[in-house]
Amino acid sequence: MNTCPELEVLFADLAQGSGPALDHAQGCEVCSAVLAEHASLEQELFRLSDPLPPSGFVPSVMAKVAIAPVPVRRELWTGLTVLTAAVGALVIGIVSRPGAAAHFGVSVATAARTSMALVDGLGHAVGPVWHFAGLPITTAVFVTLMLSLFGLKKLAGAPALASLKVTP
Amino acid sequence: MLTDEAQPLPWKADVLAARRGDRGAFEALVRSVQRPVYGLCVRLLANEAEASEVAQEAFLRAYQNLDKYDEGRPFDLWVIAITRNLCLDVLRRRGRAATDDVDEMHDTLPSPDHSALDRAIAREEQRTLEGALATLSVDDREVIALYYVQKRTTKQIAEVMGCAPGTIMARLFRAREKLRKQMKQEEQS
Repeated sequence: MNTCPELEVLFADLAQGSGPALDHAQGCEVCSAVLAEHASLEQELFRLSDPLPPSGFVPSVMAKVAIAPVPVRRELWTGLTVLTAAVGALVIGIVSRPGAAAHFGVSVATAARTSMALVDGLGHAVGPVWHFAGLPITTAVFVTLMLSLFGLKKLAGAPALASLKVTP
Repeated sequence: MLTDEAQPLPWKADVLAARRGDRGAFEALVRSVQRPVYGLCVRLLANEAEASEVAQEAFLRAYQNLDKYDEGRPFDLWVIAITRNLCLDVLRRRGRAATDDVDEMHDTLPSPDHSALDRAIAREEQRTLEGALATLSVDDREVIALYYVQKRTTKQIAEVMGCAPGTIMARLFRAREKLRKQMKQEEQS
């Protein structure tokens, strides 16, 4: 009668370092031979190594990286950095010059007042124009918007990810 | 058995620099992990040209997702996980898990034996082993490649494959047993 344990049990014991299956293997020629074969196979497997990538592998990767769109978050960070620097420079400019803050406040108030007058004037102007040329204006705005969106999509749509030829 | 050791983070500075747009730093990262990435592709896809394409794609995805990478974790394992997913996608697209058109892997390193005869014997043994390895399923080749060839720990492999380390041990054993039987069969024939 064959009393040898299942190989899986034997190797579970081997991994733990002790167990009834391992005790059995010490006195069993068949199990000892299997263990020895596995040990020898492991030695051979550990001697294998990864193949070297083809020459020009790294330049190919870097060429793909060069044409890949910049990750969005990095662009956002760059934009925020530029904005912070610009605002910082403005604040420093205002604070460092005597009377500059007052002059800046007056300028902002004047600009706000002018803008309000401009918005009011535009509101009065748009009414008659819209009355006479509503459809052409809507069409022109729609076409411009669509063309812009299409252009943006073309710019942002990465060719890199889609360019992978994975099928032989 | 391989042990888990606290590893330094040699890639951290390069990752941070690459995130700021330094392509030289990213190139250094590619150079440092290109071999295991390409090696895994070759073993899983069994086609050198395809392996090269997929490995390049893996690096490109890594570059585009650098912001999502947690620099406290090993960079190589992160790229290996991306690579593995891409390879599995390709295999799924191929519609077959086991491949039969195995390219010969001529770049495997010889073992550090001394005499020319020893080296020749070792090379022949390695070729036999590679041949037997190529007959295994993708799942089996994967654990063997990561554990024995790339010398990863079961914990690291479990991290890459998204399962428990105990599962990896069981899969390793089963893969090795299949390999042993395959080699025995080849010896007899």
